[in-house]
Amino acid sequence: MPDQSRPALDQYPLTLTVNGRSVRRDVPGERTLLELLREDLRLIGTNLACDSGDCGACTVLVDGRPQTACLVLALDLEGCEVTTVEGLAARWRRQLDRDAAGDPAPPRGAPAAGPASLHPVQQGFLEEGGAQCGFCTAGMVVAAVGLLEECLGAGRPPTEADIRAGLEGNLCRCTGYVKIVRAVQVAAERMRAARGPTP
Amino acid sequence: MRPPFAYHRPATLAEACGLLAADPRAVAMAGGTDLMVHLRQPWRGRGPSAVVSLRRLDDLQRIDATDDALRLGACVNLSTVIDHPLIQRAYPVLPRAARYMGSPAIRNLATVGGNLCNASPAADLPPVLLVLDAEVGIAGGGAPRRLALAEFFRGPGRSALMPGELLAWIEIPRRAADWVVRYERLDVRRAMDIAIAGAALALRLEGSRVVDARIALCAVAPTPCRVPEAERALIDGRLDEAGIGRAARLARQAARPIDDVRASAPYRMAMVETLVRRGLDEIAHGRRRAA
Repeated sequence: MPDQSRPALDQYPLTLTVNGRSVRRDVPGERTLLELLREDLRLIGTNLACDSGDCGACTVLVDGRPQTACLVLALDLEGCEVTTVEGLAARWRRQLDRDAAGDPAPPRGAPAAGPASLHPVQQGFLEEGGAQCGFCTAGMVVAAVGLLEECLGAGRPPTEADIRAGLEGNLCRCTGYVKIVRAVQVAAERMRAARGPTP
Repeated sequence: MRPPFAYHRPATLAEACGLLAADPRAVAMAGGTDLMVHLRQPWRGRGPSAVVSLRRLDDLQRIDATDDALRLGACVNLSTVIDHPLIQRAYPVLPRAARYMGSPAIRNLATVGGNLCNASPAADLPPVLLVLDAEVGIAGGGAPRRLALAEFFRGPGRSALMPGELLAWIEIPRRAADWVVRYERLDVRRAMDIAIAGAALALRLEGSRVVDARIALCAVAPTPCRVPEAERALIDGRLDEAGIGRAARLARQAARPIDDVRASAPYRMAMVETLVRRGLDEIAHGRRRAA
């Protein structure tokens, strides 16, 4: 419940980019990024579970790197770029568009990147059965995207150990992780093929 | 839910110290990975009146190499420690210890300075930085001061910082880059866990002779601490089974652990002996393999 007695003085202006859109809000000091996303912006794909950084369900990308949104004060993100699970597909399309603009010839033998409405990591989770109850899935998918962007950006395909280390902060109480790891491996291969060799 | 508080994001270190000095109930926040958890635990007492965010203090994010030291800004995060080529080359034990902590998402937030200022007896970087002879720089209203890291820890959750002071940097002497350094930690889970007990070991060797030695422990006393008697047992000796066993037993005798949810005090004492022996064994075997 928002505290109605709070004086307006305790709100501070915040401007940041969320899923490619500029957002301006007046925010109280103690507001977390997770609360801003879920309650103010109604982006409820990012889940609230432990609220203490232990489970990874609220993982989002901040300037391209995974962070647990429950541990971040919203006001600390002035000028930052946040990507939630809702923004992953568009993020992927932007990356492909940038590749296409920079490289007139599409990479040879590039397979389709899956339906345009999903990121390859989401598509991988779908095909490999990487989700059961789904509560951890958004954070898991976002952490995997952060991991794959880092690995593929550095030109090295992730090993299974890389994937497990990249997801070490994301708890899943259903799947036993095997299908999740496989989903990320499938996605890594598709992302590499779709974007061609890195320069 | 967290209680409400005011928010400041100062642009200079002096301004940040001024805000903290003016309001004793204001707290500084770096990565926030410990503080944000504390803020929602009502048994820790009433929350802060204000958070002073250190996010805009670019000087605290710097990594500077001089001729005789490497200086880490207090707000350098753990992912940077892991990825930084200079740190990897000169002090590979630091990335190894940092990788024990949290997860990628946590390490993208958590800072070196936060790990020291939180003054948890179980924190991983203090024992490692202690055996590297680290010093810290403190900023505040008066003249900046420099302190040996060993002087910084005063008790569980308590550091040498006075009201209105901030940790600005951590300096590691260049000479420590020539030492053989290991960090051994006992935990239940590799990720998202804290140490049941930990031991950092640094040796300077000439041939098979130990010329100098540093041993520091965590999670077995109210503060992270060096063990001078165990160090003396190694110096001027050869790194053989007898010497290693003696140093490990002395480390056990120096430990003053508590019983808690993670382990009993006797278990911690037994394990800290094991960790010291294991680390010294590894160093000795590593030398034999290299020879």
